[in-house]
Amino acid sequence: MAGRANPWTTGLFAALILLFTGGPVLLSLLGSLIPDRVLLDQGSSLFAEGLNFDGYRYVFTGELPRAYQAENANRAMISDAARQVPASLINSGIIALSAMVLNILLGAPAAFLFARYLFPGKKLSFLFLILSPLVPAVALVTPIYIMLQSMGLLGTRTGIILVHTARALPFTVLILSVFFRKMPAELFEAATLDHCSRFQAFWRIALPLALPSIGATGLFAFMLSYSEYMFAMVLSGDAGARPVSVVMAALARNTDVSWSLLNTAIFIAIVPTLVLVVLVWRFVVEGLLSGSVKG
Amino acid sequence: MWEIRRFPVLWLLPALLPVALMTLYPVAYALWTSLHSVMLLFPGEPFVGLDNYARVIQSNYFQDALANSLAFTAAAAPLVVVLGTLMALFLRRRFFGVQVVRSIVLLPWVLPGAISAVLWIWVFHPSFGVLNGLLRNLHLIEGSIGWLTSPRLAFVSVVVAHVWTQIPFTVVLVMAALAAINPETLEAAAIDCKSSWRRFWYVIFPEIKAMIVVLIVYNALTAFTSYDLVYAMTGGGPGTATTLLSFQIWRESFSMYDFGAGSAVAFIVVLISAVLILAITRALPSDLFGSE
Amino acid sequence: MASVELRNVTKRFGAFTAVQGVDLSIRDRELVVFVGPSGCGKSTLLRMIAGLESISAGELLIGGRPANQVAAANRGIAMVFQSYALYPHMTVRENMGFALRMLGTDRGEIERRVRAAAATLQLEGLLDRRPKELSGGQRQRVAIGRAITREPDVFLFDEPLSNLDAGLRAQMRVEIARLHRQLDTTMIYVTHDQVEAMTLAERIVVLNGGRIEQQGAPLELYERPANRFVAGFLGQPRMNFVPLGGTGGQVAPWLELLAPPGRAATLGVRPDGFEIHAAPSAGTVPAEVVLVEQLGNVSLIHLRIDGLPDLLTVEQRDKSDLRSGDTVQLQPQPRRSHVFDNSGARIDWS
Repeated sequence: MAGRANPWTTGLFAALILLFTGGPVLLSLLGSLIPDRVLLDQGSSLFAEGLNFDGYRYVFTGELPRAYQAENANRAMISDAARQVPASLINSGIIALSAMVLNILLGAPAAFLFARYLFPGKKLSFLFLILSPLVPAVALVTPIYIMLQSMGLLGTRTGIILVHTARALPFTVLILSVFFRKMPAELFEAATLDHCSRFQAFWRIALPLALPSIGATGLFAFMLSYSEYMFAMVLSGDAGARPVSVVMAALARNTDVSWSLLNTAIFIAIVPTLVLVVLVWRFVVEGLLSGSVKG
Repeated sequence: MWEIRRFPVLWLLPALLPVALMTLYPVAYALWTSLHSVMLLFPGEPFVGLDNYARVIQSNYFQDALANSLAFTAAAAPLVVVLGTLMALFLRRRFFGVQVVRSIVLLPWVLPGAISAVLWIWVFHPSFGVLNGLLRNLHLIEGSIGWLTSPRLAFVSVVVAHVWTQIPFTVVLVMAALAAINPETLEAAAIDCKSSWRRFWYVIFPEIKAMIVVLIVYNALTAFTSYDLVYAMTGGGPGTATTLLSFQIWRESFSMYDFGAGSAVAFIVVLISAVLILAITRALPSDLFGSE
Repeated sequence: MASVELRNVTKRFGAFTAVQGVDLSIRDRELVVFVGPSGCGKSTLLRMIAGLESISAGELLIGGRPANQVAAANRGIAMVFQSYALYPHMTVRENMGFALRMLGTDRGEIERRVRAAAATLQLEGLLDRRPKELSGGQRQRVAIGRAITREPDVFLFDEPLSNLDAGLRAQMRVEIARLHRQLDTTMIYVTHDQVEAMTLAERIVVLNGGRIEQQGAPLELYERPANRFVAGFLGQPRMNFVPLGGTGGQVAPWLELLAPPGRAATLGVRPDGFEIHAAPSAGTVPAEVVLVEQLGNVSLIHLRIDGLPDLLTVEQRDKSDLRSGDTVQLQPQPRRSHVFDNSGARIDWS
């Protein structure tokens, strides 16, 4: 599309979009650096006491922010939940990474077959795969809770990994099969003539060629798992398996907690997603937009 | 495409089995539970037929929640698709810094719902929220507006927050659909159509119609079954103003320990979702589904 | 090295029949070209021989042995694809040796064969490059090299030159002809380009609508096309067709000159089969010059004869002095004229 548009309107739209999508995140960063009594005081300027990193220090070291040591009444605003954030980030990392790896291992072969072969039961199994995510998660929570309880997996990362893997698999298969289908058919015909078995065609031709797409799809599974809340909350229990989404929700619903501390926790939890956004843009979106496997 | 004579178990089972385990079994279980009285506080699981359904449907809570969920869906889904499409069209342009804007747009996508909720509480909070602060500083209001405490405004607020979380996915998919349009088609359109609105309506829109339909269905479902964001923002309140159906399942099952009633609500949600999909796909012209 | 024989081979895709009852026998070491318009079934036929498409009915024999049920990899064939189908993530060397590696051939032997093929095709300097670092012509040669290293009994080419520009295409055409002489192997070559077919083939098989219209040596087909379709398909510029209602209508003088049998329905004359005269005489018909195309060595003159639906194209040596609007007298040479009956079949006469 030709970009003959007026630079002023372009700038205006860009600013509006930035404000809408990025604004709340920026606010949180600001809030994490400003003590509560400034934040909550409608009269004073936001930067009256400057910026400080006390909140961050508390989360990582447990050292109480100066603002709260001075006034005993404010001690209640400190929540231990904020100190769970770093550990929960590690939990989230482990869970999301495992879900991502499992998704690719389990999903890629199926995606390859769906993309390139006809077989009995193909329609039915494909329909099942694309319809299954339409069952709302809330409808599944109770049965899955009871199922994992009987398997002894409640309160473990394994249980959450299992559920997240299964919830993301339909998307993984769908996206990967789109990528596999985009590969030129002649490549696989050549492979057949070159004595490749079905598995060798998959392993030596399709997989190496799809590597960027597989990375992208993996990131997608990672994101689904990282931001999932309901199963994570029900299945992690009170144990140390809590991922960041659960800890953040607990923190958010604690009405007493200090706003600046809450924002600190939020911002710490956002940092990995900021990294993700850049990665996702690079691999998933650019890949989706350019769209082809060059032959 | 080559044919395989038998169902390729080894290739497909690793993907199908976990999905079946986490979908088919729970759905069957929910169906069974919804027909029995399963309460943690009372031992035994007697068959009660449709009692759970009857009880649930007659409760005021359910009717409020259903009305809220339908209103929420009707407001949020079209808003996400329209705004997302506009943003996608805009972000296809080339201008200085477009890469940065494109990245920032994705940000809400990767945030857990609970975090998004806190961010938006921070915006809408009646006493120290940014929105009221801004309005006060511009001397548009005195005092404060109860964005989260007045029933109607609370509903608007959660819709805005929900739209915010859902827009990135829609933007990305519409951009992908736009990228798939043959550039020569667009060049021809640039020559043939004087106004950019005509260019969109007669040339671009027909090419992305299929994707738009998929996105409307997807967003309707997401909105209808949405749970965590709204709950974290308002707890369903004030009163039942923002209590959604999904929250109802949650409450019946986990705070009332009435799994039978919870499953009944869950099943009703599944049924209404199915009806929604059918209704939406029927309401739209059928030629959208002609091609794969 | 092997012969290939097709007996009543048919291919159906659902209700659509792509290839219908084809009988064809290709001798060992022969270079046969399948030619025809797009959708005529030529590629499907080739792909059935390769084993990439199943055979709906009929029999395929390679080297005298039934091959219908033999897996593609075990038919002793190698194929060069239109898009080359090189593996983008492998170097030229790996691409060329891949089939042998899959067979478990030892490394030394693979290297020897890859080097030999590379030498034949002047690819020695490019062995460690990847396909995207090569030009179109080089990719084409790698694709051929990949086929050569397999030392197949039969080479199959599926429109291998259609992605190259005109100059390179002419050069590769010569190279493939040279390879055929050097390798001395059966080759089956599919193209829609009748020039390629004419220059490369020992035998041309013209296909249309899933059937063989005619087969034979290139010049034989050119000089004695069995029907109107073959006559129109081979030769550039195309043969002129003139409808001959009962008495010949507008071109009645030509009928007296040629005296074809009464059931002749169409007269076919190639552009170089006309004589242009300034003055009318027996057997000439007046024609108006519509356009003159000067090509340097020849000129193409497009002429209109009143009452005929199509313009006629006439080729003259050297440049022409004619101009648009001139009227000339046109006469076909009897020895270079073909007549076809109502069904399009050739009629031999005189």
